[in-house]
Amino acid sequence: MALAAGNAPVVDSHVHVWTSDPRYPWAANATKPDKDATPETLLELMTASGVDRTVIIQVIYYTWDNGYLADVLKKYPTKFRGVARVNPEDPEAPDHLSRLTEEQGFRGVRISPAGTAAGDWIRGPLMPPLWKRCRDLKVPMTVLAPITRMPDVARLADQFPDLTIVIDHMADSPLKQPEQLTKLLDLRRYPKLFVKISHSWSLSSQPYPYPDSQEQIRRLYDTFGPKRLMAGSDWPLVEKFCTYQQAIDIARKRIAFLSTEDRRWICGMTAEQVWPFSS
Amino acid sequence: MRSLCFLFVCVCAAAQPRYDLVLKGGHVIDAKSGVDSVRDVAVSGGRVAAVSASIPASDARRTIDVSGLYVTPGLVDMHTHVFANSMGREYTGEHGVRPDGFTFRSGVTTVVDAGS
Repeated sequence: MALAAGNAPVVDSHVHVWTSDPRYPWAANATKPDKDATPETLLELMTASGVDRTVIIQVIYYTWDNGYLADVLKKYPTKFRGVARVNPEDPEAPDHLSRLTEEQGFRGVRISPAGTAAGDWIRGPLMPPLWKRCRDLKVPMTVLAPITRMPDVARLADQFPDLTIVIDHMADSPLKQPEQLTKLLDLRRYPKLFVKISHSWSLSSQPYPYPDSQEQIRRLYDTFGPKRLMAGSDWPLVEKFCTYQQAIDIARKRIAFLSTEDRRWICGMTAEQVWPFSS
Repeated sequence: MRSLCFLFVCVCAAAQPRYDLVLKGGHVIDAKSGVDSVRDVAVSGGRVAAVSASIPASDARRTIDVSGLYVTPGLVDMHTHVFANSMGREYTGEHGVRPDGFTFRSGVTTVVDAGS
């Protein structure tokens, strides 16, 4: 097993898998990826990069059909945790989440409201029941959304203080509008809210290791601390920008202000708290 | 006295660098002019003013050593999908490209969006 300094596990908190296979049909309106991203490829990369485990997020290409990821989780139970998607505009979404959790081993759900009015369903009446079900199931709620949606997250977080919430990719807060980040920093008041410090590669205007993103990461670090931050590669999408190894090395080696103990948390222990492999 | 003033003005004018910037030692590739070799490039007023085997640093206000790097005219990416949000009511993050990640930091100054 590859271990970080201090024998902490290295956990990549954010990857996707998919395969072009008629048993797992693509969603009708989805982009059709031109090549597969299989768990076997991922496992090879993890081994080469010293990553022990990963959290696989159901990719939008299948929308609400979690069948492929369910089979991957069943095949590799010691390597992966899975986060499902359910249709947030379906009144039965809470029950779907219960089945995915209790029968198929998923550990949480991801929602992704668009930043436009089309995503205003996050403000609608179907959200509290879904968030309540997450809390009752004791699985995390993951939110992929632009920074402008963070006040909507706060309104829901206020209602469910016992729910673990994860914000993906620093809410894609634009580096050139640093004042926007305060919408995410304001969520510090929820002690069970965590942030992934991924997507520096696409937010940056500079080449690897994207030094202009470090000030934003530093502000998140100063606000949330290393025990509420997680590194994630967003493989395979990250390969548009850099290699898997390079993506992993950003938090492990390239963020200068992190101590060895900070890296242990950000590169694995925080994700281990949110998605424990022992449970 | 008038002669002395004229001389002073001439000396000041002579001390003004000819160029705003010189990129020294880069490998210049310019398909239009057929250049594919190590050259210095001088810029003045926002335009390329000279391309030569050697341009003295003293001719420029600022000099940057770009040895080991390529120097090209702005590249044109003929097929992109520039967006960070798709599939209607769902935010999709990374499934298109953001302009910052795929333009200036990789030498591209023009992109053609083939539909986003």
